[in-house]
Amino acid sequence: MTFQFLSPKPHSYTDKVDADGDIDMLLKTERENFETKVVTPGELVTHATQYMGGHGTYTNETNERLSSVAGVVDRVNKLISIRPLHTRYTGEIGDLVIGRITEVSQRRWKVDINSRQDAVLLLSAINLPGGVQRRKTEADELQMRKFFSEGDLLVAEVQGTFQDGSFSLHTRILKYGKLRNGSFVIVPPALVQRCKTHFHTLPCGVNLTLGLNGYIWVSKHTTQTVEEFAIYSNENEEIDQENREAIARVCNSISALSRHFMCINDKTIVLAYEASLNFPVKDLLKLDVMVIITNEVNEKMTSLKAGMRR
Amino acid sequence: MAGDRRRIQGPEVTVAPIIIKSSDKEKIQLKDVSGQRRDGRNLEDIRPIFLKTGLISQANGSAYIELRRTKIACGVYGPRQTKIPSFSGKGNLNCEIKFTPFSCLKRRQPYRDAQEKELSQLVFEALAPSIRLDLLPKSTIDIYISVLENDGMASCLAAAITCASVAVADAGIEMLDQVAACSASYIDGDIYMDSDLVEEQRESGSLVLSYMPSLNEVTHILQSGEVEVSLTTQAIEQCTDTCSKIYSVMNHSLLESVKNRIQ
Repeated sequence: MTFQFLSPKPHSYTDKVDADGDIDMLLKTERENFETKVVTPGELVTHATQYMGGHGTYTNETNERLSSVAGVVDRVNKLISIRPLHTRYTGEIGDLVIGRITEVSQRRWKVDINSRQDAVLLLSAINLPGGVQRRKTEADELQMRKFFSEGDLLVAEVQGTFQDGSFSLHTRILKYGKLRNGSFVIVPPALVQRCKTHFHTLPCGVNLTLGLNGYIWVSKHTTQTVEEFAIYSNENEEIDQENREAIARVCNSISALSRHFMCINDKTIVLAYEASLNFPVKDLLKLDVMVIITNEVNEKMTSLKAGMRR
Repeated sequence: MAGDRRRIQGPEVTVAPIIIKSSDKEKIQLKDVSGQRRDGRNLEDIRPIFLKTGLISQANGSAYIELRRTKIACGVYGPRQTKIPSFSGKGNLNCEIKFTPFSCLKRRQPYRDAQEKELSQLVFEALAPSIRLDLLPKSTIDIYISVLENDGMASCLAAAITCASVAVADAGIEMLDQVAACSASYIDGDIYMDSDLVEEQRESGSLVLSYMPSLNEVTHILQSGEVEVSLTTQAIEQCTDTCSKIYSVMNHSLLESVKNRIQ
């Protein structure tokens, strides 16, 4: 009897490869069951038991996988999760967020970052004015309100997570810290994507900080870095009429984008800003003007994408 | 007479209250010979539902429901940090129902009264089993329901539960299933589904059923008045059927709002 050894063949289902070169392990027919599927709470996602359940799913007694939120089905190989579109921010370590101080307590601040629980910023996780490197003493503890007091806005990074779903933050990079000279916009967190940088300078001469929690800071452009002694200053600098208008225009463009649920990054904001130049700033909040602007952004984005494909 | 001040000083003789039977109420025919009600629907039909999510922009989730003259708006805030620092492994659910002063036939006082408290508790009991509060330690979900127009208390409660459940789902809060609720009135041995105010004034009892259709579980039953068992079972069956119909409306409005956003 003769045996014949066949050389290993790749499976027939390895036709889908994503940007990272990862191969999708599902058969094409199975895959189609999940693509752009929208579910509501209690709806059956799949009968098959081979899948792992991620966020937004649960199993019933008969081991069927049901959805527990309203949103779109996200599948990474065998892991199925449901992504709600309108929800609170759930952070990950390393995320850049913008927050507002809600409470000053023992050696820590409580920060509202649009998540389920207020985040914690420890006294030991901030930079001292002047960039002094030392342990925080009791004297620092007594003058915590000199660094951040209630209502202050700050930009920080997520340092870690706690079991109850809250986060701890840190501001130990000079770019982070107290925010001033600008204006604050809130958008749904789902619209802001993770990027290499979240600090942008727009061509219109405006600085932009995109927090992943959907909080956005639009401020006056400054070339020189803040003197290390002034990082906790509460004083706003003089902003001239032209800059004020540019800041307001960018803010209103962002709210137009968020109202039409379009993704928000420096590119779309610049496009929206350019499209808005035909209108006076205060008209940008009118519904019909918002439609015109977002349509124009949409067209430009699709033409840009088409250009890239070629 | 210097009597005991702690005792209630009532009058010495009691007089039975005079009950005025309004004659015009009796005149209204609730159903005609063919079994149709005043507004043209059958006994087992409910009023047409309008349901839309996302009306309150500053809330995390919101919904508006309208069944002809019953109009209710609901906003959901949270999950957010519980303000009173007491540790709880489960999340808190806080429901508040509010009748606007102009919502009822008689003007209502703007402050919270006993009936609003009772209804708030009922909404809480109907919704709490459906929401996965075990996933939200130390957090609070606030549900604020305002009744803009009230056309029958039982149907108003049912609509409030339905509306609140959709608003919670709109807020992206994890839940086992949506809760659909529906009311029925017992009038002269008949079951009137989703009765309005005029019908409610003639009822001998009522039923409000809250039901999770895709799990096939009842979260809450509220029955009042004197009814026979057979009639109650029939009403419960009719209510579960109707809840499944309401559920499809709830699903439709939620899917609409999600699809609008992803297109």
